[in-house]
Amino acid sequence: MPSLKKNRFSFFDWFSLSLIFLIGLTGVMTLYSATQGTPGDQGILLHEKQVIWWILGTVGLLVILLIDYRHLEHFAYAIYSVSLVLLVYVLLFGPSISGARRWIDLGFLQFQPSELIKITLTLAVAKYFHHHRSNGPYGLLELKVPFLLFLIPFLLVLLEPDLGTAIILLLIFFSTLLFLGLRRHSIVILLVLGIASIPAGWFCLKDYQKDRILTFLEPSRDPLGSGYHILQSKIAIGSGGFWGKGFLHGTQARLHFLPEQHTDFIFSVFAEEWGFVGSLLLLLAYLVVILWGLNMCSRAKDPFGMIVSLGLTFLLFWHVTINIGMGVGLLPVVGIPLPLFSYGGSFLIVMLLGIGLLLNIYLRRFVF
Amino acid sequence: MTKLRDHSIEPYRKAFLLSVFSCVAAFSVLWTWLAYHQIWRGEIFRHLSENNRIRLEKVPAPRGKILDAHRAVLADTRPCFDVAAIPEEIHDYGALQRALAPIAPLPQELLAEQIESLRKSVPFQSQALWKDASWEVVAYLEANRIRIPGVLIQVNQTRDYLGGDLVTPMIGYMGEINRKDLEEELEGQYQAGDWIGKSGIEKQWERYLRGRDGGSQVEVDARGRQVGFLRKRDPIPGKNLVLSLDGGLQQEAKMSLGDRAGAVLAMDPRDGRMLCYVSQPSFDPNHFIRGISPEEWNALRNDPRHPLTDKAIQGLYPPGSVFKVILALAALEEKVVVPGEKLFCGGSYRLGSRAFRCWKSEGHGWMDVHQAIVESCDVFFYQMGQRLGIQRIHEYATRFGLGQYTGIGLAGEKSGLVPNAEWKKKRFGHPWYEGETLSVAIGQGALIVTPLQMLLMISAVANQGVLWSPSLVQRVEHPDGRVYIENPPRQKSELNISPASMELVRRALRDVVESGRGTGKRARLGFAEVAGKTGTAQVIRLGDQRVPSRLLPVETRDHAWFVCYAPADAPEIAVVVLVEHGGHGGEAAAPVARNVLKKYFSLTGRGMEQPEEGLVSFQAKPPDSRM
Repeated sequence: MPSLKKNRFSFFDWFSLSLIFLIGLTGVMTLYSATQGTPGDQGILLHEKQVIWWILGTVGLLVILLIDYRHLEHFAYAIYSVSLVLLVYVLLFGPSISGARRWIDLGFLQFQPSELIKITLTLAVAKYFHHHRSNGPYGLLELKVPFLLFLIPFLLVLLEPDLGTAIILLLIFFSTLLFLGLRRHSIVILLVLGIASIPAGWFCLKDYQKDRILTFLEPSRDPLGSGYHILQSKIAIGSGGFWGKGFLHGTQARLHFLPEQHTDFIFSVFAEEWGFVGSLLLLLAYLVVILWGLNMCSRAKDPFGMIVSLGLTFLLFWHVTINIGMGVGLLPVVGIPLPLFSYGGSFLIVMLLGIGLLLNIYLRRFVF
Repeated sequence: MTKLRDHSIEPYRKAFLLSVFSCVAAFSVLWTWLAYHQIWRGEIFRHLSENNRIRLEKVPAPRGKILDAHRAVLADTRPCFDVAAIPEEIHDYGALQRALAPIAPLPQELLAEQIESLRKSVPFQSQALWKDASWEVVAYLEANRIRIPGVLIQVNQTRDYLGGDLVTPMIGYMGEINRKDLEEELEGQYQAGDWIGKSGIEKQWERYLRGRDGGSQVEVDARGRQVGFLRKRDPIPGKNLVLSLDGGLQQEAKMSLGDRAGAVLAMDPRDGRMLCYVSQPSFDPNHFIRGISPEEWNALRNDPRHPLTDKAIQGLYPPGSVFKVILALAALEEKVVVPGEKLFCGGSYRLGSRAFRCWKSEGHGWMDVHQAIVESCDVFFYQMGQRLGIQRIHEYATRFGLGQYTGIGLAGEKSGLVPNAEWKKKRFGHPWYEGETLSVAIGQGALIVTPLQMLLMISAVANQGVLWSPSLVQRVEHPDGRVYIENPPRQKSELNISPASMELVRRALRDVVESGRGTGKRARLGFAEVAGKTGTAQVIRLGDQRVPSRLLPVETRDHAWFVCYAPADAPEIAVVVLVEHGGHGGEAAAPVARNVLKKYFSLTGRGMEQPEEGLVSFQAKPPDSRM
């Protein structure tokens, strides 16, 4: 009978956890700076609301810690189905805001089911591979079920329309598959299929989404719309210089040159105020957390735990990369928030629950 | 579940290391980019962000024009000057208020509100204080620019309705887009502050009329002067609409209707194109452009003659004797009567314990279908109604488009009501009584229609069987005149009435006007034969008495109807006139129709007088020299 080692956190773990909260604190401060003077709904300012989400999210994180993650594994398909139902519900009954149906209105808060599916998809996929392992790389036929698990929410999210979340789901899913191992010819087939579906996919995009991609390829094409936004974002970031302009001294944000400055372009606000030094440190912090996530993944004791930690880590990675890539003009604007930083209750709580889950898997590595 | 011991990361070691490497690599790319832009080029960006500012200047796209059939302009776009301010450049709000107060056309409080809102808006974007400033104000502000910093004149465009109240409510009006519209509007095509068609054609064809605004990114220095020009996008003007309406007919119809409330509609029965569309009283849409005060708005809304209502499609009235056209065709088709059959009218008809009166108290004597139509005998049609029964009446009325939307597509259209037993049961919980059939047979009772529906009906009789969907817009054109889309006529349905019945009724309708005893004599033209039917719709029941209209207060007088088409043998135009509380159809409505027909024939080169010039132009309103 192996002895139960005490569940001890190493220094690395404490460090990463505090980094997470440090990122959050910086985020709230940046939000405060970005929304100066803008009254929030019902008199509560945005950064105050974000603090509330943090508190709720941390409570959720602790709750998740208490549950044996193997119970989660047991109910993974059920949880996944619930989020599918929510996705369908929001498509049918959600209010249409700016032409998109993404939110369920619960009165005092609004909830986005598309954020939830980001982790429940991973749960379902992890559960599948936990029970259906094979040695060696997977062929496409063996992956019918995971593909289906991915395809349904992918299409539902696309219908909302939420291009950003759909891309995230795609990236997480295929990164996970690549990690688990695909046969060479499967990869080729997927690539071919992917390239072949670009024209069809292009056709299905809404005009403004096409606009954003075209403007990315040729910025002078839309000098009044997203071309202007990218330009302002670059100016904001670049003008931060080495040390930054200082807290609350960002001119671009204060003067409202940046659109969506509390969500998509929050990094630009931060970079303007804290310069290269600040940006470097923030990115380092994210990298450390990501590596920590990968570390969890390597120490997981069962396939479910490994894949869940993998999926959550990739979630973090892709969000950070795409959001910052958007802000600096390296990627087209697709509307992805910066984790733990951008304003937004649904995503923040989902991220914190995910981190709670990571911790959970890690802590139970010694328990049978 | 697999035993925990069986799993380890080993088989995935390669993938794991690759993941770590990829993450670090991706972040390194980001770092490098950041270093390049923040350190290497940081100074340039800093310069851009502080000393030079990039401003967006909008170049508005002109809205499409609305033209009548002869290309006379009904709605145009004209330039206007808006007085705007840039919050960042205002240092003394009080001084601004004092400087602008004497020249602003707004009341003091409103101006103060506008200036106050500047504090909360985006610092570098100009915000309009008031629109459509006069020449004097523009000259004054331009000359005093240095003394009133932060204020600038922006050239904008605004809608000019050259026809004034001649073409409302059908053409509609424009107003600022509200929150609800903005939220539903997809893809951010509209911004707060944009103007959008709110009703009528402006709304229905908004997609074509609206162009796409252009703009440019300009660099300005600290004083707001343009120092550089980055990029621009040209505006795309909206497309023009060519209507089928004839401005000359509209004017004639309006003049003939005079002061009275009602509707005058005309259509070409060969293809369903609307030639005339007048609803009175209406309003001047230019008032909405300038900004309508709450008092003016309430006055319009509470006016008992309903100037905001489009009576052609929203006015609901009992059709009165005009309905006998349908009833006669129904009776002949269903063979409840034969062409030669005569019935006696002695002034009233007894059903059960009740006497239903004819409008001619002494009675018409022996009548057949033809004469009953010509002289509009109620007693004859009571019996037709009784023989048919309400369900068959309902079917034929529906066949003629009553109780349904016409397909004209304008917002707010009402579909009227054709009653039957089923409806009454559902609505009131009571069974249908035969006496009600008799009322419906002469166009009273629960039966209500819109003037446009009557136009479709008489057009269908004119062209012997086709119910058209009325169309107002002939085509959409590019600003340079090339056709963008044609709007071909659309058939709604076919009547499927036998030619024999149709022929009999048409002959009778011609005699309504052309023969000596017809009720529609006052529509006679002389040089061409007119066919039509009068109608007098009772507004209130006055018991058994019939009181001459002129002795009654206006609001209780009957509505006057006249429907017609001409020339009777080969119709080119169908006309419907409804005069609210006008009294007798033959007296009040028929002469209006006659004038419209006369004008139509003279415009198309026939008729007794010299043909007039085809083009009608509207007097453009001279620019106001108000302050």
